[in-house]
Amino acid sequence: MDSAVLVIYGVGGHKEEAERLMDKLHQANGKPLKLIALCEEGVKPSANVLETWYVPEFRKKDVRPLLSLFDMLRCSVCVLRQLLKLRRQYRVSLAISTGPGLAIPAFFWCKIIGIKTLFVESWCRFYQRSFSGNVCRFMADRFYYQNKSMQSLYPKGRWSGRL
Amino acid sequence: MNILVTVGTTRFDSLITAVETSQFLQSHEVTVQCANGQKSKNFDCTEFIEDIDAAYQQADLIVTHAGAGSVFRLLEAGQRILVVPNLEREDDHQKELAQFVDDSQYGLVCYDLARLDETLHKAATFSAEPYKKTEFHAAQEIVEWIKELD
Repeated sequence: MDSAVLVIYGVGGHKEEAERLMDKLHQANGKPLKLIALCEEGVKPSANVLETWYVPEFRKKDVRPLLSLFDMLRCSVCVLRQLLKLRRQYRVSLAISTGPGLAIPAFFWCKIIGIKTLFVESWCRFYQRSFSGNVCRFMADRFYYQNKSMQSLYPKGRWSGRL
Repeated sequence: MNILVTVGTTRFDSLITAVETSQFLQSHEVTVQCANGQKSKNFDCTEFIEDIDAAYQQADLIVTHAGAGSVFRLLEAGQRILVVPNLEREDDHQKELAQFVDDSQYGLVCYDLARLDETLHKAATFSAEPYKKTEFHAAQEIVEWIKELD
């Protein structure tokens, strides 16, 4: 069975960060890594990955809290289902995320089923932790922050420089 | 001046309204990139610009939401920018990036759209600091970790 690395990202800045990170990982490896994307529906597939797997949106920011909670639960169940399917096709050694809310259920299930996790805090965070960074710092096996001003907020994290 | 207004993938109605009523913009060539069915009565408005980097290069000034993808690309390209954080969004992460641009003097920031015209006047002559960043240097150690895990 082929091994692969799962990359979890979203739209806009999160996708741009993920694209840059994947470019840098391919370069550092000297040849393309086997990367699989896990994204929310609507994200365009990236040329950096072999396949893109989709789940419903995790956190709708413009709906009532109860509906939002329902969406989170629905997404979480879909994430688990996709991870289990994915593991039937690939030996997933690591899950990496550049920080949409989707990283939260994905990292949770990865911990349960034994996939290592790596979180990169968003490049637009200079003074405050992001919602997903704040939660994922407790689950991630390795945690990076891009802006040095975040050092005191993530004392156990590693400074990576900016993508 | 050739001015590009860009809101990214999320609607930013108050910016589009402010752009439409701006006196300063009436006397310049303006292109507006809007989102999710937003319309502009006074200016050319398109939801998707095929070659956004070329559009950035052609513009003398870019009025941009404070989305990280847009702002960092513009800073790396050395463009003259006026950043308007989208405070209509429930999460306020755009405020942080706008503050970073402001503190570093990489561009001008308009926190209050009632003062957009005033800020546009300043932006036309503003001399920004060159963008500096410490490049991402963790790729090699991540790849080594991936190899260990394999």
